[in-house]
Amino acid sequence: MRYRVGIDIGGTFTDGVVIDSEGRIQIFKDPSTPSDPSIGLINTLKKAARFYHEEFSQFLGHIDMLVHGTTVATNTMLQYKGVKTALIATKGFRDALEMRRAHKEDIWNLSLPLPPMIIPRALRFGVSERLNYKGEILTPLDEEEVRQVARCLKAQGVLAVAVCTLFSFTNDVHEKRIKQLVLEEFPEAFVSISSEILRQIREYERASTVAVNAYISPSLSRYLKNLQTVLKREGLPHDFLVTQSNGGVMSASFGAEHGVMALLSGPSAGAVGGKYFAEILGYPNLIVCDMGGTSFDVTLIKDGEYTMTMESEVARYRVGIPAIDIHTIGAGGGSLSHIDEGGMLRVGPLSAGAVPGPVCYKRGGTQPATTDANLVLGYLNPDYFLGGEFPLDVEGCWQTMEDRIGKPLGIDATQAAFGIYQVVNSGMADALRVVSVQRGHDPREFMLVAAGGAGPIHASRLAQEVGIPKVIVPRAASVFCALGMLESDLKHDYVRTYWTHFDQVDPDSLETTFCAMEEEGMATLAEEGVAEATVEVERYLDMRYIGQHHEVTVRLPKGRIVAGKMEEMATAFHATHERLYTYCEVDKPIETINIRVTIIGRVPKTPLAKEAPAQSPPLEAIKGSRQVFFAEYRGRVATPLYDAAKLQPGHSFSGPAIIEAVTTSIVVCPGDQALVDDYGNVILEVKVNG
Amino acid sequence: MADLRQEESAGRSFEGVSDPVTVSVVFHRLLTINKEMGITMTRTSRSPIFAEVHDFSCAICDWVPRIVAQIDGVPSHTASSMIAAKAVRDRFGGDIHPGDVFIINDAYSGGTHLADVTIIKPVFYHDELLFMAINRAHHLDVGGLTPGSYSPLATEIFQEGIRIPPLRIYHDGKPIMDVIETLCLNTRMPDLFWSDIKAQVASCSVAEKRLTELTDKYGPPRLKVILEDIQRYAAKRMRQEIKKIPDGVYDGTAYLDGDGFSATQVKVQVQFEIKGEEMFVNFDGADPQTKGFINSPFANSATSVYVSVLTTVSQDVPHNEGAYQPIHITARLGSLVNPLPPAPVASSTLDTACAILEACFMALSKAMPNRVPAGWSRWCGPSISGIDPRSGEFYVQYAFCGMGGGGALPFMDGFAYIGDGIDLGGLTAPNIESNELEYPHITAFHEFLPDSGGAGKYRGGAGVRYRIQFLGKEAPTFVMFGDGKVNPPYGLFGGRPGSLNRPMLNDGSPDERELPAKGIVELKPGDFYSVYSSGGGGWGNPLERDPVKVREDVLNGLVSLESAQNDYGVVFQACPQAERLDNLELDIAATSDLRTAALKGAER
Repeated sequence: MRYRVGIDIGGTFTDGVVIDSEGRIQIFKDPSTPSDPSIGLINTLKKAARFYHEEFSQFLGHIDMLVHGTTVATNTMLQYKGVKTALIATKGFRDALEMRRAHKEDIWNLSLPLPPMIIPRALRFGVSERLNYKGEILTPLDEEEVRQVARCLKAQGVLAVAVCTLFSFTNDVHEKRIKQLVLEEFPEAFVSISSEILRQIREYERASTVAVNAYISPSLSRYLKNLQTVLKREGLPHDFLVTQSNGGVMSASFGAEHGVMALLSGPSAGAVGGKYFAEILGYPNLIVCDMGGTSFDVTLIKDGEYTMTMESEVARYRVGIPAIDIHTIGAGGGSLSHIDEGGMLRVGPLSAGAVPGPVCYKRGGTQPATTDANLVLGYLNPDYFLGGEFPLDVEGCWQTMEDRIGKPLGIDATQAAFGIYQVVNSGMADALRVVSVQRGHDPREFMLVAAGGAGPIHASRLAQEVGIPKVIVPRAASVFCALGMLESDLKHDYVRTYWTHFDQVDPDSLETTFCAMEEEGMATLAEEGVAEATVEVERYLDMRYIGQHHEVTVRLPKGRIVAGKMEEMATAFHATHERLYTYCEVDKPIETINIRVTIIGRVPKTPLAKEAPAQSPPLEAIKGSRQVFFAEYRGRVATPLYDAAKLQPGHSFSGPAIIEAVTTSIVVCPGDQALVDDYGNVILEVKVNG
Repeated sequence: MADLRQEESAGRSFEGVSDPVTVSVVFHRLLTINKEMGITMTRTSRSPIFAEVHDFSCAICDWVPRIVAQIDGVPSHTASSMIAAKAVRDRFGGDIHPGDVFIINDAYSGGTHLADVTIIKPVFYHDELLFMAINRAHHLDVGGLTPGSYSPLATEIFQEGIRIPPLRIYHDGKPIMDVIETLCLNTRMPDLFWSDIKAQVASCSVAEKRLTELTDKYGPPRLKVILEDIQRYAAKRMRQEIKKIPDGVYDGTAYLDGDGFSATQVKVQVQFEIKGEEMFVNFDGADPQTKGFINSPFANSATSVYVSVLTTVSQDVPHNEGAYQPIHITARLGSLVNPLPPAPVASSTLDTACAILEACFMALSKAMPNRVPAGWSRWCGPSISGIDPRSGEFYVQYAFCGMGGGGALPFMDGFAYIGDGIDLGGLTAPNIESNELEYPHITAFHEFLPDSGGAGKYRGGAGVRYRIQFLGKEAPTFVMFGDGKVNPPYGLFGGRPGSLNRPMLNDGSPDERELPAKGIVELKPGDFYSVYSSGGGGWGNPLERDPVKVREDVLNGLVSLESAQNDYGVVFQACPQAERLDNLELDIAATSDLRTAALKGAER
């Protein structure tokens, strides 16, 4: 037997999905081990090996492809927990990162403060050097000054250094030299230069992107290298792959230096999974939400497609890397709640993670998390968490809930837990509104896909609040991202500046440049073990009318670029401009700005197998009942518990009910109708007001 | 204050209307369309002032026309777009047809300063006028005495540029070229002017397309009911907010440094009377109109009042005409805030708008002490124009990168480098790289200015120091406009004022000259211009500022060791060497003693 394996190491759990050579899917899950995440990963893989009755090393040897998605980069940014990072810039220009081009996200809101500075001013240094707009050296680099700064950084315990000097996108000589010099004085530093990460004009956007890369890469790199060592030692014959923000995957060694490209590693796999789901199930309009331990990610899929963005904001920092458009907030099962100075109940953004984890994990957690609230409310079964492998501490959890939240507010543990549940839901509902209503999409035309271990507990309420009439809980809800990873293609984006008047473009030189970029991509894919036959190349040209400041990305037709094709490219540009902006100016001159190449190594997709229709009534899937809190009853009510493993296509019943699966728990609220579709997914028809 | 921060627009709900979900969906759809208009303008325009700086705004009016959605763009255009649409209706009435596009800029026919050119495109659905899409944009040049159309020497609006009343420039979807050429001929950059007008029209056409799709979906009758509901809801929300403000009469006064001709300060006085759910605002105490270009047309004055209210009440009040219903503004004709033609007006959208906003904030701070900011910086900088020696082409540039800081709030420090008060951070500064690619100068430095933010329990945001040197053998034409060289951003409740604007020529060299805030300056080739821009005002007594924050400010080079001691009463253990500031440790006991003594001194 051969296997393809997707592993998603979240803040709280490590999820594994294995597809065997006959297309059968199996799910494995184990707690994450943040101090050394490889332990959780190996544990999960060992579980799989046991399932397949293979020796561990033998099992690893049978893995054709191991894809890994990680939220390490995302969480580092969302919680502003990157390493101590410094910035080296051109003297007199060290503040671009904090000046943010005088931009305020919400013009009318005076009281939204700046995000925490990932590189405070005290750690931003200017050095003497200057290039002009053509890349000519006006002031040579003061090398001694760089060395001094490097020594000072070392003395202050800095771990990473971002470098962004003016006009480095036209000439990277100073940035490269600064990197060398810093490494000579301070070899253990992680140094990232802007011309390597985002070689394009606009120093603020470049500085922000490279600052984020420096801030998060050391943590990610340490983490990936460690995994690589361990997996190799245990018998994995090749490098593993890491999912990227662009929805594709990259090799782990590449990822270690390019943390910023893995910023949305975990969530992008969820979006890919959502797209795959949309195709297979034939529901073109989906809002995919993934609630894990630490974050809540939302992607909107309209007519079967997610949207890409060339520039995005993560934790309010500008990042100029192509990415799937995903909205993320810091809310999850591990989000910690507390009472703030004003006496108001707050949930998040700090998370308990896997260690200490929520109070009920009994690993030293002292602050109630969302999961604790769910346990107190009866939505989670203390004896069936991870199928019973991981008993939860009910008593400790109630006590802490009462002490930490209840008493200060003068309410009991149940009311405190319900308060947490409501606060966390309202934050998540806002996130759903941001991608739907606020972008002009009517939520009533969408279905909500509830993924992540915690998603199905909250999904029905969220749908109710936002006005989405149907929720799908995929059969592999808790490992949706890991499943999505196995549907991700290998994908690399390349960009090079090619700034010239369009009528002066030499087709041969353009073709040569494209070919060189493609060769680079092909080589990377070959290293990643992709056969040439399955490779696809997409060519793009960023173009604009001379004098404009923003480009239009035009997809080029396949085939060699020859003089006769230039006209066709110009026509494509005018047409795209007209489609996007309602007009074009065919008589006006055009210029090219960037060449873009996307290289894709296609991965074979596995069709989902339909299941046999139910032969027995749904009652037989009931395994018991429990007192569960629902707002509709203003208290607890005896609620039937269904065993997810026994539900079959065609089963249908109404809420209140709890469906217990090994890896998640689905809350069916009073008034909801639950039914099981042909693929074993649970569909909730939610009562929507208005 | 936590509640204030929590109220985010995502949580908007529409209780009390017939179909709250649909109304909410349509309203947000309109806001999204509004944003898309802005994106189209940014992406297609040729002038950096639009593509990089976003000195424009978009709005959607209904058939009346009343503004129904206005979220994109600079706050300083809030009321003026609304008045421009009405001017087009009044002039053309029944003579408005599908495929028409109108233009207007005249300050005395529904505009503000002439550089702000408004494009209005009526949107028809099967021959029924349902919407007007509006794009209002600040063009770099519309003629007048000096390039850049801020002419400190102008004494009549005729000297400030071409005046355009409501005028049809497209018929049947096609531009009326003879009319357009007449307009272009009166500007210094006719090609650029026309290209950017086309971008404005495109932004309105995108709205037309989307609004038509929206109407397809709901049908005109239902949509009209929804649009009425949106107006009613906004009015209701504003009334609820006004009701929360204690009844009473609140005054505020601010001064402009001068009108460019005389050094006499010019007074803006405003009075708010809160009566239940209504607000009455008068400018009875404002000075008469002036000779120089700071006169503020009524639309501009009203905008400043609306901005002061919209930023201090709850953020979930929709921005449209309904919200302005309960706000009643009166201004004496012939005064600074409602001048008679042909008074010049070019600088009113910056200087006077800022001063009016400050006077309003000061009045409102008496009614809502926990919501109102200390003073923001005022604009002060040049328009620079000439022939770019690298390309041989004429250019006009404003020195946007000299923006100042924002005022502190009762619970947080002010924003550094955020720009003037009336624009509220709505203008995005260009990158230094784009600027140098675009214009013939080289930048020497661009960074925060220490000790510029007013001291306070919450500190004002820092201003910047910014220097550019001009390239080429010919010196550019250099026109200063702005204010705040005499009147700094005010502090509130014990907070200190921010620093003054300080524009300089060749500072530190033998030719050093301090520049006026308003005036034409002769330059020589190779001269360099520097500005040390205002920091924002502080809020609350600086002796109450958390010493840990003061230490951070010192480490970050935003507050000097001297100011830490003298203004904040914070003492450090043994003064460290400058290069090892990270060893700086607070002397808690000495700090406490110094602060106690300072407080006692203040009481005496």
